[in-house]
Amino acid sequence: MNSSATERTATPPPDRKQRLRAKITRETAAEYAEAARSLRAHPDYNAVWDNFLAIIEQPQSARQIERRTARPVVEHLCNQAPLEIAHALGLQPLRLASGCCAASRLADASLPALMCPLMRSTLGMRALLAADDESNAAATLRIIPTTCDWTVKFPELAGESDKTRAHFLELPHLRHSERGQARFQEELFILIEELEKTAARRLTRAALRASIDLYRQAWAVFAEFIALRRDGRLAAVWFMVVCAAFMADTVEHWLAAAAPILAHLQKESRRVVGNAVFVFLSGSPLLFPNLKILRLIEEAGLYVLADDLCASERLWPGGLTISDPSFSGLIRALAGRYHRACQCPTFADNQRRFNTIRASGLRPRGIIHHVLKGCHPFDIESLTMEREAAKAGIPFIRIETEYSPEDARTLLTRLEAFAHIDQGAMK
Amino acid sequence: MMISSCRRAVQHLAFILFTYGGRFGLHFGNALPCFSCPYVTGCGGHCYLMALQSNWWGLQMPLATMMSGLGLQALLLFALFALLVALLGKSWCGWLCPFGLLQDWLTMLRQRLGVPEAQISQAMRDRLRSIKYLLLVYMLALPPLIASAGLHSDFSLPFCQICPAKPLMPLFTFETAHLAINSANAITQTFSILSVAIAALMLVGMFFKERFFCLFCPMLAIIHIFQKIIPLRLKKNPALCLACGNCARACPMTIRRVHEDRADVQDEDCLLCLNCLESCPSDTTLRLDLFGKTLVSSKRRRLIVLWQKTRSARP
Amino acid sequence: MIVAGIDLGSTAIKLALVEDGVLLWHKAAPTAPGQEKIANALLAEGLSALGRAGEGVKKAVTGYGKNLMGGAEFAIDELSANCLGLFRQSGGQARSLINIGGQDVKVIQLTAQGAMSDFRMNDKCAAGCGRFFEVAARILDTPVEDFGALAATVAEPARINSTCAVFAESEIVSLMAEGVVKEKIIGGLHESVARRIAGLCAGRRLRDDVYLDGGSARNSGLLRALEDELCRDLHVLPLPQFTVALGAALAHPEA
Repeated sequence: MNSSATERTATPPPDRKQRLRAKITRETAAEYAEAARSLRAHPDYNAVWDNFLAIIEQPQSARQIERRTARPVVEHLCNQAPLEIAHALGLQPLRLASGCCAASRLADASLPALMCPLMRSTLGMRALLAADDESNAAATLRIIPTTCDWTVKFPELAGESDKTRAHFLELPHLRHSERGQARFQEELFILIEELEKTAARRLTRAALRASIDLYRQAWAVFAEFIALRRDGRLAAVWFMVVCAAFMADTVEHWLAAAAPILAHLQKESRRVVGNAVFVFLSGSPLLFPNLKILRLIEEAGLYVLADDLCASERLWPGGLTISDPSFSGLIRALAGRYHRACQCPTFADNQRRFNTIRASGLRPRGIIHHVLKGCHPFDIESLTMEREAAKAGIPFIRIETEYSPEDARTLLTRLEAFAHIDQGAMK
Repeated sequence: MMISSCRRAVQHLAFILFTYGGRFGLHFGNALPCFSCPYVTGCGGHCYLMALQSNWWGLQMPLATMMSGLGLQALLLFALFALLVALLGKSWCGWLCPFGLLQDWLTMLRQRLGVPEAQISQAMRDRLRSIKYLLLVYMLALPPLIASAGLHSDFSLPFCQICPAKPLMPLFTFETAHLAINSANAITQTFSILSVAIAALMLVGMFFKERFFCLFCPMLAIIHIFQKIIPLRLKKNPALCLACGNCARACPMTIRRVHEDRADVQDEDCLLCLNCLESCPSDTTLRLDLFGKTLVSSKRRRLIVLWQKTRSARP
Repeated sequence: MIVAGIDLGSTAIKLALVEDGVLLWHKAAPTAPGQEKIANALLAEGLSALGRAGEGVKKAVTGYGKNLMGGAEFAIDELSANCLGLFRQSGGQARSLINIGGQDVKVIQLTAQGAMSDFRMNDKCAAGCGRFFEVAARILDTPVEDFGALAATVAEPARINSTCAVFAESEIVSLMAEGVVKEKIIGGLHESVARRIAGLCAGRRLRDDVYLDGGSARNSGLLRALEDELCRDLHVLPLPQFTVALGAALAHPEA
């Protein structure tokens, strides 16, 4: 240390690493605050939305959620592990996925340059929040369905500082084959064993049934939000808020918070202005607080009528009908719902996803396919999607981007032009 | 009112009318396309399969009789049967068949006891499909042989002899006679032993697997043969399907086709029970059409009401 | 009523004054801070050149900077403006267009009625766009306007791999150090950019007639290289830099 430095500061300068961490912490907080601010400045904002905003406007560690919900947190990567099982065991399922751009910087040094921004941010956020926890262990268990390579390699990427136990839920990548379904069912029984260990109690049929009922109720509410969206009355940014709150809180609290919002929307919400172009949004997930794409879509005069993003409309498969209320019958139903209904592009047999969009009774005037740079499964599917869109005569645009806002202007140019593509010409 | 509760009500009403109707002077004829078993004393109508195999209105009729006016009568009865089939199609199975309701009772009992349903693999399921047609051939081939090829007359009504409805349905009028072994000769003895054995096997099967007997039912096969002219059809708009799989799960016949990405989802084994339609969470995805006009279609809000009604009613 | 089509681009601000569908006057100025001021100065200059200073005009803005322009009652995205401007100028002949702007390249398909039916743009990286040639011109100490003529003098251009303004700089410098003549280097630059643009067109099923516009369309060397790379004739209209500004003016409801 040189003498002039000691003269300048009375106290020794903090360690550079800590300074960087403090800076990223500030930037992360600012990013969340800006997202919340822009939502509160949105023309469709109403004070009832604070119910949800209060849940999501700050990043929260698993510990914080644990303290708030009084339930041990089990982190879920992706959405193939049934939430009902964790819930029935008194655990709090927490979807591990971050949309924060600033937080990804904390993970940058150790990670590959070309990497899924979602995983980068999630790793960064994990590192950021873990430091705030005395125990330095975010959650006791992390369920990792074997979807894409980034997901599977999450524990490796997280490195040795990560003390959370990983449980791999092996995902058969063929859904429409009986053996794939049978294997997934077996996987669920193994998962249950693991979760029972974490919860230190047995999963009972009654508890599972009650959880299924509760999530059914949640889906009923969720479906009402979807219905408002279909009706042109719920902008995409708000739908993201609905989903983000669901991912960050207990289902009971979410239901309580949703009720007044839904009541307000059903009574008061206005339909989107007449000349907005209704589009279908597909591709890589979009996560709070990253509102970039959704805001640009809105700015370009487009309205998201529907989407098939796994952190949005496809957040969780929703309510299920049970024909066999025995324990194994319930597990079979959950397995069917979480496996067969999932539209993750890591599945080999995903034709259905395209058909749904192509022949959609929704008749979108365009398809926006969002690809996160480094997200190969969705990138590959964009080719099929484009072909299917052409067959159906629906204009298609592929938006490749990262979390960083630097490309906002060029994306806006594209989206504005997309809004003016001649419909008749496609046919 | 929910579709399923409507169906239950109709099923029970049909059960009472078909099983006890005769006692109140009600009789819906001998051409019913459902298992309203003629062996039930005082029943309200006869399953057409008996008439079809018989020597008075059916295939066991000697050639000479057939040429007389009786042949025309048999033909008219068949025409009536065909009309009834065309009118309601598979609803006979899902909504009216008393033997079907008996199976549903066993399923309800199993569900109440929390006993898991037996699983049949799709491959096995496909192999079983042909059995109902084999039974149909057996049922249609034997009566003419009795009439004209000298087959022993104790082979008459060959299907009824082994049908599980024959020993089981009369139990609802406290008749146990059909559970007895008829030792008159080797044929009757074999048939009566077979009948009781099949009935026992079916009882077990029907307890562990919903609508187990329907997998083998020759009546279902006949109705399916008529399917082309039946205006009542189950249809799907695959574009609206969320792929949740509720439909296939709710199906008592474990039909997977309804979950597939296609418009024509009515499987040959479909009972038109509409469980799939009721459990579908997407508006107008599944629908029941009559002459192309939609009678009823899937509805999210209706399903949610149904869920609320059944919420933890029984864990 | 005169309608002013103002295209606030990333490297130049273009103004087109239109009345009754006829282009009266046009001028471009380099983009600099205070875009609104520059645009208004252009407008004032144009009006006085036409002898109609002080007259009220309708403004139609487009381009990256369209939101920076206050007092414009009409804004349109540059792709739609480009389609309209080019389609009118080409007398309804254009079915495809390639626009090489300062920071981006657009490949657009048009319907027989002149509406945009499909488009593709380069990624956020501006490699191979107008700005690239400006950088090259500075290193080679040769104005871009001379590039076409110089490149025409050589048969075997040098091989240049990069279209990135930053990386190309070191490549050009080392070629110069090796003693490769300027003409060959310029020819090489045209070819490398043409390759990149052709890559963007791949699978776009370009339909005749294809037009090239944007400021760089004036570069005949680039035009030739692109024609060779795409194996088809490209048309360039007299004022390729002003197509978008003209389109914006024509799109104005009162034009």
